[in-house]
Amino acid sequence: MPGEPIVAPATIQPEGTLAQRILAGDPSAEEDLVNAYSRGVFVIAVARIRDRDAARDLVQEVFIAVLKALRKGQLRESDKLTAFVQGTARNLINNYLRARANCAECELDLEAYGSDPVEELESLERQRLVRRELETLSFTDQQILLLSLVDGHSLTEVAQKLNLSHDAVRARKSRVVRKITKKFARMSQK
Amino acid sequence: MECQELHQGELAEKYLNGQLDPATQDDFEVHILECARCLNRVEAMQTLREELSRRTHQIRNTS
Repeated sequence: MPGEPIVAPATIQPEGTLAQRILAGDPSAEEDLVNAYSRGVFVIAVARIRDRDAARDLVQEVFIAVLKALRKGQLRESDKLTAFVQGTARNLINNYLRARANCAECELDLEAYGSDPVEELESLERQRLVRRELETLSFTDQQILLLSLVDGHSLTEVAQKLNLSHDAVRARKSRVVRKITKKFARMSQK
Repeated sequence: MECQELHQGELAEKYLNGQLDPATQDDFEVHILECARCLNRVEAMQTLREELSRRTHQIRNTS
């Protein structure tokens, strides 16, 4: 995407190296793993569960499971670390969703795992940023985003509803998403 | 999965709407764990959607 700040990749070193360092008992490697993947795992959990509090707890559970497996050398192909983290997250999230569906009144015992306060603060800061951005948007832009992102209408449908051209709707929506994405990138670089 | 494909194909939006098949969803998630730019984009859309959902009545009632 032209014009966007260049951001460091989520993984700060080759996956194989990180997995091997954890297997060798290097505690700083475990911290590197969490730093590299925690935000992404949180976004995945929120997308799948749609509950930020439960997602925050599940992130902790994912890293406990990943680290246990890596310490035991259960990752056979160390260059597949990212896929391993994603697979572990997906399985634990699915377990959580099944348990929630089977026992709507039961709370899962996830309280034992404390969440990362820094990650939590950054997440809240990103929410505040989006709120501020929304306040500055025109009413039409807010309608475009609501109809598109929340109601799930296509750009063509949004254009018809608001009596705008398809290109205008696409450009206005894209501008807002790009602006917030850039600001998120700057925040994650700090 | 290429970044270009993500942007052109609106995969991020389909992902957040739960409209991807399981294999594509897995590939997409592996990609955003490795690509900070795409992660920022997905999180921006995710947070926007949450905040807009909170304001749904306000926005609709103004129209």
